[in-house]
Amino acid sequence: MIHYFDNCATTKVDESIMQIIINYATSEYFNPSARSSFSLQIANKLNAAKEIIAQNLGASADEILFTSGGTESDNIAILGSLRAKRGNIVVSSIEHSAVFNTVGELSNRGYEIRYANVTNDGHIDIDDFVSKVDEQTLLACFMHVSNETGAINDIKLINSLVKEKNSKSITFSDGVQAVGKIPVNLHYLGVDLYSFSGHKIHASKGTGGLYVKKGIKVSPIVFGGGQEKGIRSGTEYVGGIIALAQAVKLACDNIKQNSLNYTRYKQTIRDKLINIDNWQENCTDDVSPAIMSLAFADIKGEVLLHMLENYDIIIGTGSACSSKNKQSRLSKSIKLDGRYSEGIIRISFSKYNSLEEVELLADKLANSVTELRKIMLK
Amino acid sequence: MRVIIIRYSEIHLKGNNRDFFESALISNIKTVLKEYQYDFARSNARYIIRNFDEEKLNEITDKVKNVFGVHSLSVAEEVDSVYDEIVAAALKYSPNFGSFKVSTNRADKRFPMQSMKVSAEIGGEILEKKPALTVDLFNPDNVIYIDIRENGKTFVYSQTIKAVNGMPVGTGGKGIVMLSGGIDSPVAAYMMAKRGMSLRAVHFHSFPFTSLQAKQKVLDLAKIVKKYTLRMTVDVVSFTEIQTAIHEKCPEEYMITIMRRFMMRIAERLARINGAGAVITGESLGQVASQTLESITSTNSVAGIPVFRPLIGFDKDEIIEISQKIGAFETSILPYEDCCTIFLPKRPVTKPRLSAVEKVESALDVENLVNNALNNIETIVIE
Repeated sequence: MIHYFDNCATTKVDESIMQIIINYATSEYFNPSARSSFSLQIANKLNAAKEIIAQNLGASADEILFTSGGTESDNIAILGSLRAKRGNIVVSSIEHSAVFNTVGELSNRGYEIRYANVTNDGHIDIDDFVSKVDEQTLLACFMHVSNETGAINDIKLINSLVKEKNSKSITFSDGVQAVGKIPVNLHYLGVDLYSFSGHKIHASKGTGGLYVKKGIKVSPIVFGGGQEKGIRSGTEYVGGIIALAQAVKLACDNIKQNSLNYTRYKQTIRDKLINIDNWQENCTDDVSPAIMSLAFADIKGEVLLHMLENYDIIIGTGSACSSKNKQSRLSKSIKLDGRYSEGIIRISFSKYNSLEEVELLADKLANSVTELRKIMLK
Repeated sequence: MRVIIIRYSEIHLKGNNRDFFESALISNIKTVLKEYQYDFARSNARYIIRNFDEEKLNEITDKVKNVFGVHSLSVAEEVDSVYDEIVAAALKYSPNFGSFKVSTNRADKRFPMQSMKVSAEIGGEILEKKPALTVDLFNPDNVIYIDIRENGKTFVYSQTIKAVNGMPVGTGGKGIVMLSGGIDSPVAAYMMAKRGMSLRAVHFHSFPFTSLQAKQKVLDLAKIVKKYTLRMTVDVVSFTEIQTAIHEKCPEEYMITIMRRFMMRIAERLARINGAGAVITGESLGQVASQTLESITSTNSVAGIPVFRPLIGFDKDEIIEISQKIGAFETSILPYEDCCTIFLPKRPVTKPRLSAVEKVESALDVENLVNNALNNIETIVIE
């Protein structure tokens, strides 16, 4: 049996969710844009899915747009919301690659990009962020929950401070690691745009969404049959979308119970590491219960990952989406001490984890660190 | 009928051994074409491929041009040595604009016209049909070749595709190439295969210190190299025990030197086991600390068979150029750590003295470590 603790990278699809996908792939496979009554029924179900998601995220159904996932949502939000040919974009330096590199592309197109610092535990430095906003700021991007440290940013505060300085600038928050993990109420938070993804919450890969606040104009980045109000053309992945709505509901219904479990898991790991020296938890305050980012001195996170693999335990190192780049922005951004900078691992939980396997993980982790240090430090 | 003419390179120089070289070359050509239907014939210092599926023409020429020993290829029309048929083929192979000339070789002296006359007459026929063309005998854009053979057949063609030259793989002995996953070693393998050497590879893997992706990358590179070596087997040696032993018992600055001595010992043993007579490395003089003359001396001293370093005098740029040419570069630069980077010392010795290395190494049970490594090999045949 695989003990899976890399749920920030992706999650196992829920059996009941999978049944929905199979049903719409094999029985109710009609194109919602066609003219038959069967198609009309499908179109109605897609609207119902929006309704469910909106209810769970504190939004209205007509503010939800379905996409192929977090990366596409981020791209639409960033590339589709700019209303001027010149100006600046303020972005935190710890954003996911889907945001970071899309903003980077805007730099090639002549926009000025202003990177805001993060604090040592991975939170956005709000003072620094807001100080970079001015009259020319077209867009402000600040993630809700860091996929690397789990830091939860006070996006309600950031949003209101940005709007105070420049009421015209658009605000966008990447909520991929927040939806279904912590309570999210979009009308309360106030941001203009907010992205989320299905495969992080036991729905299928290739599903996700973008919240676009009423009154905010977003232009399409792909063109076609005019689905999703013309902003996201392409025949809808019907089964995936209806499954996504169920997954959002299921995850949101269980946030409280899951959080209690995860908090206990984190404590179990801390307890088991008590005899290990020179490690740190990269973020402990205002942190997602589902994510635990640790740094060990004098060893490499990837080697730890491979050692745990020998016990069928899967953890992560930083972000899977950026692991093809050699150096992590994370250790630079949170100013980790040199000895710790390569020793980052990320443990992320899901509802399928049990206390027993967390204990196994913690034991093997402690052993592996000891063993590795014996080898690396003679 | 459309045919492919294959010309071979320097093997025609090899006097009495010619049969040996030729049969290796023919066998290698047949190996790369094993999935195709065709007829193969030998004909006076060239080979002719007939009766192949014309839709596969480009695939076939692409494969054959990468076989070492092949000098060039031409796609030709084979017709009876009858004037009108030759003219028709020449028209088909002539361009529609620019300058041209006709060049004739008359091996069949029974053909009633002399070669100069054939060229002139056929050139005239082409000009008449395609008035936009001009004749240029000294610097033409296109040459139409007419080759009148003794058997009553004539080849007509206009393009010559350059092939890789070199010697047929299998005629230059067998070697073990150390494949690291970097840019250099696949190029070194290519260079030795070019001189006719059959190759088998060894890769040193250090799980959990290196990832399975790093191993996969080496297998991907082996597959690219196999396009030229025709066969490829990789022995993946688990190197973790040796590295940790060196790290534990030897001074840090000697890590790389001693590691490389172990690699050489294992490669040599694998050579002997597999009937190979040489070890091949991608070393280039002075490129890194382990590739100075002194470092190479201490690595070389444990090898009892020749060690070939075909890149020793190459600059990095030159190596990259070949790497790109053989299609290995994009894979080589994928950022997975190889075993050399794990215990990378801050200041490696750049000029190790052999006596000092041997003294440092005496802290280790070398024979036992080598035997353990040899007993834990995963052998992967690249398909």
